[in-house]
Amino acid sequence: MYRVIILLLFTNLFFMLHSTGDISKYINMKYSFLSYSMIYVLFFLTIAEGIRWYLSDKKKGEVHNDCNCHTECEHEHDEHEHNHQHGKKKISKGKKIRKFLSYTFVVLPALSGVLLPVATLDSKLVDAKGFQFPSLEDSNDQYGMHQVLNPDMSQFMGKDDFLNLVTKEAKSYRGKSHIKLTDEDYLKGLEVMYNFSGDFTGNTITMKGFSYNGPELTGNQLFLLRFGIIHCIADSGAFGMMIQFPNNIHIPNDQWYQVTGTLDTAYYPPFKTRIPVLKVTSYKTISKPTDPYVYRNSFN
Amino acid sequence: MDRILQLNTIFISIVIEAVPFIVVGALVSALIEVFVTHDTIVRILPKNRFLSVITASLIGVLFPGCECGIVPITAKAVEKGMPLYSAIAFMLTGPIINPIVLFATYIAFGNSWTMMLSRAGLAIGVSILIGIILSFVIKDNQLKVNREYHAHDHSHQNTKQKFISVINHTINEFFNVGKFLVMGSLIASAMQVYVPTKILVTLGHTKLTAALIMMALAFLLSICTEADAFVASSFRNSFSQSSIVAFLVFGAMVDIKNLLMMFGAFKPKFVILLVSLITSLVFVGSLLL
Repeated sequence: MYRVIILLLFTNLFFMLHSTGDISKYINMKYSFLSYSMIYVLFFLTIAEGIRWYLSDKKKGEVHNDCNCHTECEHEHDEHEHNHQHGKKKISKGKKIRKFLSYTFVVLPALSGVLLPVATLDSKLVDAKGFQFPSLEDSNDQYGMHQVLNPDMSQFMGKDDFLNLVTKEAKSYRGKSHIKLTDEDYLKGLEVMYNFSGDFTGNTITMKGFSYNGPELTGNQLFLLRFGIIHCIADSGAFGMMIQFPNNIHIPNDQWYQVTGTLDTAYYPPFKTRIPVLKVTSYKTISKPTDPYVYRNSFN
Repeated sequence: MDRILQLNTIFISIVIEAVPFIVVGALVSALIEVFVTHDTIVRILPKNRFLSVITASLIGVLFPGCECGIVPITAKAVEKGMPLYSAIAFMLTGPIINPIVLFATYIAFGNSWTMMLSRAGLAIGVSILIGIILSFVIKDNQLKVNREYHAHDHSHQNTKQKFISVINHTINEFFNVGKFLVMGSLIASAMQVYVPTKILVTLGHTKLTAALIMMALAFLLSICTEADAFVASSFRNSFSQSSIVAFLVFGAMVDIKNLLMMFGAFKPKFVILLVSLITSLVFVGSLLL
């Protein structure tokens, strides 16, 4: 019976995540068909297990002759034995505890996924997860930017294809005196800015993100970041840009801002290279977006 | 509290990502249970241990899956009489040389054949060596005692009964593997939240330490093999190519969640032997690259 309940709770987990739309806070929606199909598959298994439980309950007292139990763990086997002996043998206490523990473990995500609120990855995780500072040994390679702030898609395609693509992408931004990075083109736009920072120097750019006080920043500098997701948030990383205010500021981490500024470059010691910096002309605090993450949509 | 919620969120995301693959793994293992007989396995695999290991190492090309679903399939194949050394060879390469993972690796490193071929090559090399070593070292059964209830014969069943058996076995396997997946994901997400990768990364200066650290990272992060190439490629500027290959191969063979699943299926001594062999061979192999 426990198994029926657990399967039902799992079905419920996938169903709830999809019906509330919270699923996008866990995985890249590009792969959502996998988890969506799980609603049906798990529901089907719930029914199947329910029928089996119902039938086996009816069979109690009879000789138990179907062969469902032999691959299961010990406790299941015990149950099997137990049935063979017409319910006379008692299950030992240790086995009972083991059975209880293993079911508790399995049911954990089905409960915590529904009961606990979804947390948003924020600056507390930037240090632990993905904001490392690789030193740029090959900094003479102008396209060899670090992958932390810059969603360098050259990893995802050949260098020539990449150059063609970025050049093409850059065209859609060129000539615009004011570039606004939206949720959809956040990663693409950043990629262009990082690869052609020279060409866009002086342009006005508007972007959103949360504040992160990275290492070795001066008093008026800050990082504005967003988490980008490949498959699920276990493989996400933080992407964004350094922003620079005219005067010293004291902004704590994880404040969401929409910042407009002029693009320039600045030397950033931990990267041992110049990186794009947005010189802030105006900014406002915003509430955290409903979908705080940005996604890798495609590789072309 | 925030940290706990973030841990839970990463935990749930790993579980959600893995459940479809676990279910497929459980289904394949149930299909083997019901439709594959000992005779089939004996007929398909060559008698010669070397050929048998080599064949098994290459079967994985046909199985689209990742490391989450592979352990129950392997255990079931052993139960059905596949030689342990061949089954392990299959388990080690399966999550790496299948088309989906190879394609992801190819894409992640900028349409580079080098990384894809080094990854597949090292994996196949390591698995063949381990298979051959095991074939000489291990003589007796290494399945956990409580798993090993020998093969009910399903061949007398009609189609409907077979269908019911497949579903029942799928559910059994789901629960068998599920608890290890959950434990593993919980530990892996705690690692992601509490252990700064930065600390590990700053240690990776020499070729030797770099390879070891990337292997440790692969183990701790426990990322699905279908996504790990993308994460690995983000380390390209700070780590040598050989250590990244070590990350890609080791992580697909051993990580927190599938280590627990292995402990669930095989005797502890055997798992320790296997993991030591994998660790040393991947380490040495990546240095030779």
